[in-house]
Amino acid sequence: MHVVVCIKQVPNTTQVRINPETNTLIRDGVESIINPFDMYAIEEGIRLREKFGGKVTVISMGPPQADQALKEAISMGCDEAILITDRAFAGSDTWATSYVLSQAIKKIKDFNVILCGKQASDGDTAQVGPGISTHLDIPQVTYVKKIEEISEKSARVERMMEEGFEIIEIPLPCLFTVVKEINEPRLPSLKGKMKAKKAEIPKWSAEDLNCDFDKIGLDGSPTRVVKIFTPTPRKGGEILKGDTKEIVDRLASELKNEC
Amino acid sequence: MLIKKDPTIIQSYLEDSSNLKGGHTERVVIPQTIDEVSSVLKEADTKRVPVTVSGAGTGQAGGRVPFGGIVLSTEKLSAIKEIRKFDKGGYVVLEAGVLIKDLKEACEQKELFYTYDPTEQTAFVGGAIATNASGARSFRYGPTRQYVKGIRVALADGSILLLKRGEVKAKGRILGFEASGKRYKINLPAYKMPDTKNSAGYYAKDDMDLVDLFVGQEGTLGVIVEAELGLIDRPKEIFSAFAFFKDESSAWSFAKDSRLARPLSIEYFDVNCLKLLGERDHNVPDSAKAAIFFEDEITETEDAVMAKWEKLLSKHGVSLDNTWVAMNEKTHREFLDKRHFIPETMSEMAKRSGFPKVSTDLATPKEKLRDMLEFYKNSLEKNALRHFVFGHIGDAHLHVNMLPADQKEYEKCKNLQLEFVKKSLSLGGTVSAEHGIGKSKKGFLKLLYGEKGINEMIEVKKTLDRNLILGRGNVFDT
Repeated sequence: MHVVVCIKQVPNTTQVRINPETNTLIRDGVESIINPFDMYAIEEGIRLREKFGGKVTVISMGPPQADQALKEAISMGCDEAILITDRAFAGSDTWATSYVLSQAIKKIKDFNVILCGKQASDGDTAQVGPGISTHLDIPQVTYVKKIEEISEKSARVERMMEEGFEIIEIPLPCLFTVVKEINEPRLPSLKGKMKAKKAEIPKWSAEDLNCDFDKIGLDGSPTRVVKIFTPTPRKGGEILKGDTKEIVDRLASELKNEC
Repeated sequence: MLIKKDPTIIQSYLEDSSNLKGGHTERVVIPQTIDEVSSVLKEADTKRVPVTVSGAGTGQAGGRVPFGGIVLSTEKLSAIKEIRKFDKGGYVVLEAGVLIKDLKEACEQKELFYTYDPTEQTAFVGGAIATNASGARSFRYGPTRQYVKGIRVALADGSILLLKRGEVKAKGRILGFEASGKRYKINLPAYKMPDTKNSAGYYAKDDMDLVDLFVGQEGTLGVIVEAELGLIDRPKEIFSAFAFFKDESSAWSFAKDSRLARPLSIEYFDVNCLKLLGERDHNVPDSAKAAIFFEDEITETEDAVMAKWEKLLSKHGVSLDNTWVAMNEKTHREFLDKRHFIPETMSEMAKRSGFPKVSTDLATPKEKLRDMLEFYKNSLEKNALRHFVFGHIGDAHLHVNMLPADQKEYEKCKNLQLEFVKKSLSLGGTVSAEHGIGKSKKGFLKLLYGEKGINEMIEVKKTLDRNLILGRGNVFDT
């Protein structure tokens, strides 16, 4: 089984600060990590390989330093990695990004399953996974919490819903975006890290992927970011004090006023 | 100066991490300046009121738990006054109530490094000095003592002593100095300290520095109000890993060989610690019977460091597939979190059970470590007590934590603790390597230095604190 895992390098959101004047992210000194949701996709890919044989190829579109994220994926157990990098990709929105990734997967050719995290922790759109499957014209299931069964031809998976889950049968090749309930990602191993150190990661450019230049970068992106701002913090609540009757009366009258 | 008398507010000053019960005080005074510390002490000395110095309450031996008198909290003495970087290393001048984590952050900004790395990052610098604390990285860097370049101490009569390392040295075992117009002559204890990491009793050595007398004195000789600490250059990069072993003996042998590689830390976890961690982290290999976490500085290339450890791990039969390594700062922090999760969870479990955990803080000479470990293993298995063994195996300093389920088991644990102490002493070890004696380990100190040694320490105390008001009940009874 050949599993392709798509990952993104993101700033560690626990460290991000906002410049109060420009309302933009201060990226200086902020470490880059693999999008936390993609870690579950990597783990699931490795588990499928461990069960059925084959290989896991991990790909990422990003600047040259995103090769560190790919190396981390190799240290966890992925077999091969490809970095998709080109200045022409700069400014791509989710539509253009999913187009580029789908072109890369077309170039990889023989794959059975594509795995993505449910969304990236920086953009939070959850659109790139579904976008890839649309560009490739293959079926997809989002929010997968369990792969119950999988063969060369089809899979049965559980899709997380707000209440409960759906069981979906789907023909392969297909794409899944996965949620954190699916597994517990392993830690990089020493053997994996040694392999990652030695790994030569091929870089694919827009030309290598035969990209239509009208469909990539800022120009190829239908989305426009009009404004970025920090939401105003919510005002603190009020703790009602007194005996129970007083509190209940107060609460009821406040709620009435709100209505 | 803040003064607190409300019982609900002062309750938190009556305890620390030792679970020592029964603490009481008439009031907590919180000086905001060194002059205020001085005036509090002067008044207390005149009125013969006992003064217990309070740090952050992270102590493990009841040192800050008061039994009468007043509590003097250093929490408002929290200024980092100066931090300076040289071509190599630097120094910081700071007050006693600065949190270790704040000091670390301040160092980070200057690309400097304070070596002390305890589980309790909210500990105060003053507390670390007063107990000569050490933590995991002392394997490479040594304990707090080595970094104390100078110290400002308020003595019991309120006089302030500013000491720089190298200025006042003992002649043999006699320390003479002058402060605030008074002449002091201290006859240092004659005992020989154990040749291990040690924070049991007063530091005493021929020709020693006066600064060293105040490091590890646990609030019995003076109130540390300010210090100058040496800093080193920040390690360029750290390589860290968790290695899992199929039996304890291979882990012990690996630790022994690892010392030669001079990493920053070598930390051991027994199978019970791994089970505890495994409840949260399902990637812990089921077959593992012990684990070692180590951190090494990458001075040349990471490849060279990895090759060194690969060789060592393979020699001891460790699967490289099963050895976790950090790929970046984030995974390194996750490792530290796992390392600290174990003692923190144990303390939580003890709190919930209602019976205090019974723990040890013993270090032996390195060549005797295996004897000690085998003694632990046999005694713990024989007594069938819930226990966890973990800690600084590089320094031959492991913590045995026993969690009794009832009073009968508690007594069994206490007996076993005493047996462990006696075994450590028979091997030339210490009774407290980093936590200090406080109020809960005084009996053990007596076993280490005998009645004579204790009396010699009391004589030192009387020279500096003639009315015996400071840290009463700590280290020894007066």
